[in-house]
Amino acid sequence: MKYVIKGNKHEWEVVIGLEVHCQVISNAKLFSDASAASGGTPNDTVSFIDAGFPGMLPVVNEFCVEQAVKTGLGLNAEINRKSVFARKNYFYADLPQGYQISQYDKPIVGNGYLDIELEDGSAKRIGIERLHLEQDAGKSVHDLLPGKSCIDLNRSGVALMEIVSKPEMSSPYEAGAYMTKMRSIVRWLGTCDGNMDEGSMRCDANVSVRPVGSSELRTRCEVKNVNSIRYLMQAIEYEARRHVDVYENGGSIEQETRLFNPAAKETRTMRGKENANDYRYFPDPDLSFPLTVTEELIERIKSEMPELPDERAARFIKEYGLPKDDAARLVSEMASADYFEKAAQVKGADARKTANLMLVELAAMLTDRKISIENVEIKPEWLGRLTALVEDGTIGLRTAKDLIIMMEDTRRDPDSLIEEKGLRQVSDTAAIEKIIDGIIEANPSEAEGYRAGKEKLMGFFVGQVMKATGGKANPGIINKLLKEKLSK
Amino acid sequence: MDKKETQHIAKLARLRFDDDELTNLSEQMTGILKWVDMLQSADTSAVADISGEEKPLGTRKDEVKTAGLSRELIKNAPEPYEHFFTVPRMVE
Repeated sequence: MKYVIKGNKHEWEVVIGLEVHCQVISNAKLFSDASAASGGTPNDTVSFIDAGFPGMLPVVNEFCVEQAVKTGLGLNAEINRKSVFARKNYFYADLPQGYQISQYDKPIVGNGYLDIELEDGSAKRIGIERLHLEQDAGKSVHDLLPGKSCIDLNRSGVALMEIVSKPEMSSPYEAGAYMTKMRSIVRWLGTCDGNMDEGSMRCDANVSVRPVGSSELRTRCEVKNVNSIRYLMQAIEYEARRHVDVYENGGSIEQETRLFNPAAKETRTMRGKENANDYRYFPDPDLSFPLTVTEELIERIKSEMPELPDERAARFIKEYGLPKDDAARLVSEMASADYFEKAAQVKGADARKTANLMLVELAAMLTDRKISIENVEIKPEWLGRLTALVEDGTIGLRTAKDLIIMMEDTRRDPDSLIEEKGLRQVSDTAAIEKIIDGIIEANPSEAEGYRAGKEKLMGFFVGQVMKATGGKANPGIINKLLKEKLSK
Repeated sequence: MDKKETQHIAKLARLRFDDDELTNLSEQMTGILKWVDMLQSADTSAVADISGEEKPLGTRKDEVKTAGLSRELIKNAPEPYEHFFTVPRMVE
């Protein structure tokens, strides 16, 4: 299903490349020994290096280097044994050094790729051009003092990985799928928390359009400030449409940087070509030897790599016979994949039914209460046991649903709750029969109606029996007995 | 260097000059560049490349040692506000 924008004159396709910034999970910053943790008192986790004081020497944090290598391996990318830090020069109040230490022509990670799934279920491989390490900037607060901006350098110097894709995405959906996949990979690897709301993962999109079938690359615009996957998709959709309108009206697109405004769902010029940045990169003399990644380090990191989401989903399908969609949903977060796997180990718990109970009933409760799978009180073993209890007929599915709420509220296992509250499903035919007889006797006209052909009334009787048994009667048995009795 | 280039560099450095200053600076900077160019003419074919003598870049452990410098950091800032540095407002 090709994404095509229909203009008045032509049909257009979109060319998208993404630059993703991921804040690296580490204790200390990229070049200093101040804490990389966010928040807290302004300017408290700042060393003299991060504040750009004269005479300070940056020394690279080896763990941040490992995190970049790990991410590179997760993106199937070449790891460059030698890379170089360079200064990217620009002036801004939250950049006290007057330059950002980054990597330019020799990044730590080269060509790689990730696979995304398209709407029709087919896979598409998106190339990754590079990943490099760089420093984050500080933050400015504009609303504290009139006429002034307040500068907090706590974030200054925190390690970032900038991951640049090839311009190989051709719809907002593909861009969204790429971001989702990227976020999932860095989270699984533990190299970035992927939190877009708080800005620890950020994204800029390069967008251009061209007539369908052409292979030219037209002038692109960079759209900044998209802090959610939904906004990214909206921004691309708007920006591509804008290009089409400009071209069809005989205009031309200028290369520029634009800002996305989520409220108006549109992009606006941030700076034009004449104000384009001229960064004058050069190798940082403070870090003049190349950053070296040894074979031993790469081998060690390879041996520590977790099973990544794609591999795990494939294993869930093969090992547990899960449907593709269920497997994909379970691996969207490592925590939910782990949860499922623990639950499915319980004796008597069918894996497919466990996944179903988890993705439908447990997920509904989690959404309803706005809690994440990491914070749920129900132990995975309890959910597995719940599946087993439905399977062996001890409880019905409706009771299982209620038990999910009860387990969460009481932090107790299903067996003890079933015993205490007497939730065991009544499968005792004689007992149910007695109740049915009573109900038929109390509702003679309905019974007459059913016998005369109003089969819809079966629902009424089932409801009455369920009510009388407090929902504990086995629905299969009720149906069977009712049919027998009513047809007499 | 012509005035246009000097103007561009001044802009990148957030500096403003009038026309006379630009003329003057262009001359001075051209002189500096010429002087640096002169270094290029030195014969260094027999001198080993210092960047060729590669050592791996030194690294440090991922340990937090510096903290709580806030007061000291902003001590010499011209107009601190609580724990912040302040600058003229950057956005409208």
